[in-house]
Amino acid sequence: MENQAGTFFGKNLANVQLDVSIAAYTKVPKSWRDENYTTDFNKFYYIMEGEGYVKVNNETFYPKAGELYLLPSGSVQSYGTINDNTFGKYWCHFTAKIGDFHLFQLMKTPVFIRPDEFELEEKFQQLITNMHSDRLSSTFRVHSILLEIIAVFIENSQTIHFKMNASPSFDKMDAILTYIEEHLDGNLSVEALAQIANFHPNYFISVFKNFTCFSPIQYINRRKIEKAKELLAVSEQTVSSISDSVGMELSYFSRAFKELTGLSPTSFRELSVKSRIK
Amino acid sequence: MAGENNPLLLTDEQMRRFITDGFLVLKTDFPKEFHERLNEQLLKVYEEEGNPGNNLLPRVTELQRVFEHPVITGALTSVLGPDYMLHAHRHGHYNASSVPGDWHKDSYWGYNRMRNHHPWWAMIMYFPQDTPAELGPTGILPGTQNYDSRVFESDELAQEILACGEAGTFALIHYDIWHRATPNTLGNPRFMLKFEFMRTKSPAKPSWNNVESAWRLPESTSTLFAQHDVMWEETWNWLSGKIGSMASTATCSLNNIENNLSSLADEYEPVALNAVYELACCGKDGVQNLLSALYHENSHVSRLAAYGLSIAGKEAIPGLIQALDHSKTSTVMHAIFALSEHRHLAAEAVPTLKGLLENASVIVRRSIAEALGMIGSPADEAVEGLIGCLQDEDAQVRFMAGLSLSRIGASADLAVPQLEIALQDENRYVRAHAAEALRYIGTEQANKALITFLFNSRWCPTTTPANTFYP
Repeated sequence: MENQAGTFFGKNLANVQLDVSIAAYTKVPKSWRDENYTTDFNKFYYIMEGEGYVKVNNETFYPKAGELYLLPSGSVQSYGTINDNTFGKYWCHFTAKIGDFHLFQLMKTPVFIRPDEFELEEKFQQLITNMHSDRLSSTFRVHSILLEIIAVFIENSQTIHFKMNASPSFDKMDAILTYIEEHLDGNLSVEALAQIANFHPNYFISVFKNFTCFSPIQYINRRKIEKAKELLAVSEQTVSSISDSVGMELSYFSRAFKELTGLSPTSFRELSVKSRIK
Repeated sequence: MAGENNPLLLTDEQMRRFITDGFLVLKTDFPKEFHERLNEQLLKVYEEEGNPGNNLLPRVTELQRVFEHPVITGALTSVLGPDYMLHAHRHGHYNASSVPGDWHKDSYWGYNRMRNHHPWWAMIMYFPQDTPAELGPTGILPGTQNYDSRVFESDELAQEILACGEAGTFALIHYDIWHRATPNTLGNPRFMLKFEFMRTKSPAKPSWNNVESAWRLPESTSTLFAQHDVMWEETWNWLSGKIGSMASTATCSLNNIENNLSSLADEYEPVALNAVYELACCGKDGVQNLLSALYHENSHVSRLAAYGLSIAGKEAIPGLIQALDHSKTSTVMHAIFALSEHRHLAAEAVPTLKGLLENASVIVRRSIAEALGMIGSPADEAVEGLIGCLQDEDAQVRFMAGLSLSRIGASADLAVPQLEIALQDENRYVRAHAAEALRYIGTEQANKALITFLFNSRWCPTTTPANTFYP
């Protein structure tokens, strides 16, 4: 899979918010059919047996046993049977969002893959079991299993395209995140960033939060501390010079560092040196 | 009403752009000679007789063909439905000003009327001559149709789109978009013909060339000040015939609701606008908070809350009816507005609204006259109220009553005698709307009254002071 993801994806892909509404195994009836509908959720079909068709945005597929289909939200879909030998399939409906965006509207994957994954059937079975369980841990299980299925799908995809024009604010925000990365040593103000995006500062803050789940200041501080962690771990620079290079005054830097990592910069450095020796 | 020809309807992508950007620049395909003749006729009239004002259409008959052109009827049908009405106010701008005009929104006979976010009104600005940027076409600020405040400081903005192009180019705009005249640096006078249109039926199904039923963002947009996902999606659904489609579509945490509440008073309107639309999706909690905000001491907050409530669905109706009793005029107006956008779902508000007509201030009566037509049921009671409005001392109340009776259509037959009286009103716009109402009511009695009136006022386009009777 080629990686042409922008800064936004690099930093936020793992922040994806999942919600599974239903998961089941069904041998579909002959009447299984619907045409040209659009949904707000994604679907997985993991075909076990039988024949039929699915249509996604004007392209028709005749799924075979062993194939995993991903029908993304927002696409125009149809499906139906073609003979008495109907599909038996695992399936689930779910939403996957990053901030305000539907993951699979931003990330264009193939419609299906042929996973060489023997455990996929087991994963779907676990998904179904956990959906029906009221154990405290089930929600976590559901999320982690779905994440695994998505990971399998991505790993088995030949190409994945990132559709940046899915939102008018998108390019701008991605440019802003890149700008922040390149200016972590300086004094980044919300006003200056808003001006680059050509947005009013108040609106800029609300869009930024939707994108990253952080206010601009929180985000910038996090990125600064991340950069400082790298420098502490791999360079010989003093803590004071590192605080300079992320544009923070030393005492503020030490406090922010401790708040975010639970360690002082010096302890962090000591620990990372030790863990490297190991 | 739309012409008899086959309207060339807008595509899904064009509708998406109209919703996000608030305008479309389109072009008719008349031959060059048509516009030459039209311009010749316009020039002659403007120079020899002066600006014909509202008589532009009967005076320059060629122009009628413009409004029968499939691109024009198709665009208007798509945005306003097939039964749209041409406003009696028409204006041909003819100027060569070398300084730009001020940025503005057009008024609705004054600035008190609450502007609908849903496309109830639209405007066409038609350029009958080749209009390059130097000839001062209209400048439009994309996406600003629902901003009440001027959200920008500088007059010169990179976002500005010019409605320039060859003869036959026109801008179809959401009535409320921010626009201005750009400077005409060539010095040759140019014509810009401005016509307003109103929707007379709320949408029951998509009236454009609709293929995909769900909303999605257009492939690209103009540069916008902000993104308004809920507002856009709701407008798309509304145009597809749905009321309150976004109600309870989001699961909102307390935290979420609090964040939105704190944004209600944001000094930057686009942020506050997103907040009210998001609250409207949050079910009961969201609606309750919007209802409280309706009573906010800051009338901007109250007005914005009304936009949220106007899309909130059934849940909001009882609270809105309660607000009609409030002592603050702006709160009452906002509640009337939000009720009116719920159409028949707000039928139980009609008796209270009718009762309010007795003592309410003039701006409240104007809002009621409009709301009765939009709610429209129970028809008898709404029509009774509107017959009263036709006799109001305020011309705008009478004017709005005419529009409302047009919207109710045949069920407003009882109003025909009072409409016949309104055909003699001292105010020209009241007369025009009374005639329109008779046309939309369309019963035998209404048609008879209308034909008599029209024959008595028949206009002969070749009769001028220089040519009084012959040949």
